[in-house]
Amino acid sequence: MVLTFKFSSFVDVVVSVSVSNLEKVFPPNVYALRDVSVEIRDGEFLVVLGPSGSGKTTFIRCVAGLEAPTRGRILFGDRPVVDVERGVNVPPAKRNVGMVFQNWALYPHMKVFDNIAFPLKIRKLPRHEIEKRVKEVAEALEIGHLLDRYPRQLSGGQQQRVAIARALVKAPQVLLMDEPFSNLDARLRVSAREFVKSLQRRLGITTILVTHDQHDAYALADRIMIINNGAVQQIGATDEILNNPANVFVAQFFGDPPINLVDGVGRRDHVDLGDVKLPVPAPEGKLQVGVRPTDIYIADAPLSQGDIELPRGRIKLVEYLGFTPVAVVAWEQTELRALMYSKLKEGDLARVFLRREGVKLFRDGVRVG
Amino acid sequence: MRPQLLILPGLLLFLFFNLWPIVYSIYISFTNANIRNFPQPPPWAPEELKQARPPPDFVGLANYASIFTGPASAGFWNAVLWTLVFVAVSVPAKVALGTFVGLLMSSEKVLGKSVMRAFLIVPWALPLILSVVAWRYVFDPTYGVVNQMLYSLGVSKPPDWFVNKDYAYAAMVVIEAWLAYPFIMTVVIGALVNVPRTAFEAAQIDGAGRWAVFTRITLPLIKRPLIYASVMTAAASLQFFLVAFLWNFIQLYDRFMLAYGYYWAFGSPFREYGLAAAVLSISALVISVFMILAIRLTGLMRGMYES
Repeated sequence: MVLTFKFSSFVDVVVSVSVSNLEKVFPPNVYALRDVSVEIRDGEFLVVLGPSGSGKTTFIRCVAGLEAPTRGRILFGDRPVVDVERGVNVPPAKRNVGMVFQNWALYPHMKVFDNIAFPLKIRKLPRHEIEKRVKEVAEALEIGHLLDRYPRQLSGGQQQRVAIARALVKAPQVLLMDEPFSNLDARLRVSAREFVKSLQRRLGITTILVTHDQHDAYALADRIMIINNGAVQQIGATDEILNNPANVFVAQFFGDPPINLVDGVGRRDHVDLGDVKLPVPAPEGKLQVGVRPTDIYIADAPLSQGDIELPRGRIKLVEYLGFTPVAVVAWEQTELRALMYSKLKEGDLARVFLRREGVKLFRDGVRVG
Repeated sequence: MRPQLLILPGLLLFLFFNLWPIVYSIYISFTNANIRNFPQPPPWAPEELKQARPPPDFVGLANYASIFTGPASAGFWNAVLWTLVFVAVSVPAKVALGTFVGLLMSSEKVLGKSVMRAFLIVPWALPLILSVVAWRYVFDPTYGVVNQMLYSLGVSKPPDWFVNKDYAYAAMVVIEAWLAYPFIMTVVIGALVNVPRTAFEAAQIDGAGRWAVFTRITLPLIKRPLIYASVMTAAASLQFFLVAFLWNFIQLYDRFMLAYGYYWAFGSPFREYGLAAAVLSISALVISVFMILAIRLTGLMRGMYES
């Protein structure tokens, strides 16, 4: 996609967003957010990822000002927009954020032009200025030919662009997106992600996107914040979270295909899974062992030196999830998912190798090695 | 048997109960029907009685002439004028009150909405006679809460809300607003249910204050149901009668079109049924014209997004 338009005019001042100790309690005692702190650099794309009910939407609504937190502070640059202790809570209208809602929330009674122009009309800009800016942003988002239509006459992808145009036309300091892709079909999702990503790169606008779909996070994020039960589980870049999950929840929630997680016992120089022994250093005692299917593989020979060969296992099942098939390998009791690089069939005995750094050890849900 | 015949019983009932009274009362309006010759004795009545009560004479447009230029004209024009004033005052009051309460009862910041809605709907549900009796206590010249408040505000001679024509009329506006706001409120609440909440949140994010959200988002989105309700309630105001009748008919008979017709039929010394029928026929015509114009002008019969 070629974006010829100079976007700089749509970004006011890019600011960092600093959230500290944010807490939101819905009466009587539902904790939607527990002590959430995160620093988002100016121009950064943060994806907030979590299962439904994790508090991610409450988080973004607090940033937008649609929800008042019970405790904590939010700064845009050095301007406090929320500071519960000092009684600061800037209304959404004065925060200068753009927001794209899950169902896009277009105004059904207004044409596309008026939808996009609405934030400018509220600010009482002169009419020629409004027309100019709406045309510019619409051209840039390739919806210039739709200005005369009503939202209900548009496809899902077009409606989403209108919603993004409306969010951007007022040159916001921060762009917020709440599950913007969940109403699009799988194909459209991919192109919409690419579009949002390239747009954000060109604008350099600080962006927070909330999603339950980890593929959104892979595709878009500079950094990912994983949240569960209202508490931050881990913040980091994609590979950081994949390779160094902070706890069992992150390890299980993030990564596709999902991580292998089995119980074992630590024996100082190896982990005993009962039938299989993984020769990696481990603390003594009961452990949970996580191995990503991408860190364990079936092949005729090790792919790189230092990979550990495990006892031969039987291929129970082969799944084609992506470019490389994934097999379920079974020993006496243990079953692990592994990438399959050799042409074996279900029922065959296979040589299985393990990448040394691929073993993640947890005790009571927390990473120990 | 032809299937069309199956609707015959219903059709006959409809014609007899709906069409016949209209046709008959239009016919009456062209006669001098009054207490001496109307209603007619039945065919089986004794001959002397029939001769004592000759049928009404056909008088052509005499009743209409009386209404427009003759002895009934002053009262009639007065009634029409005040009825229109009543529509102009009571409809905005009803719609504003009903919309306000409807918005309030749709706000997520209000607790106990379903209970309060149940109470707010009461004026609609109560028998009218009960409501009027209650309001008579409220407006009682001596003991009523209105005049008590006026006393305590320092008004030494508060008005008599029954005997004084203008104050009685003002009370009618208040009572009509109270009686009709539940209807508007219900329509507004129903309309707001269909408006996604995110539209309001998006407007907030876009910088709109309360008033801007109301005028630019809320009102346009509930416009059509609200116009429908307004037209309906305006028609009700045009037909206002029963409360005035129960309040103090002597003072209010020439302030409402239907009341004026009723006055000639049952309040005048000789029960001028013919004249009353003429008054009510004209009233029906006025209301019909209003409804047709209102529906045409507001496009009520068009689809949601047709223009």
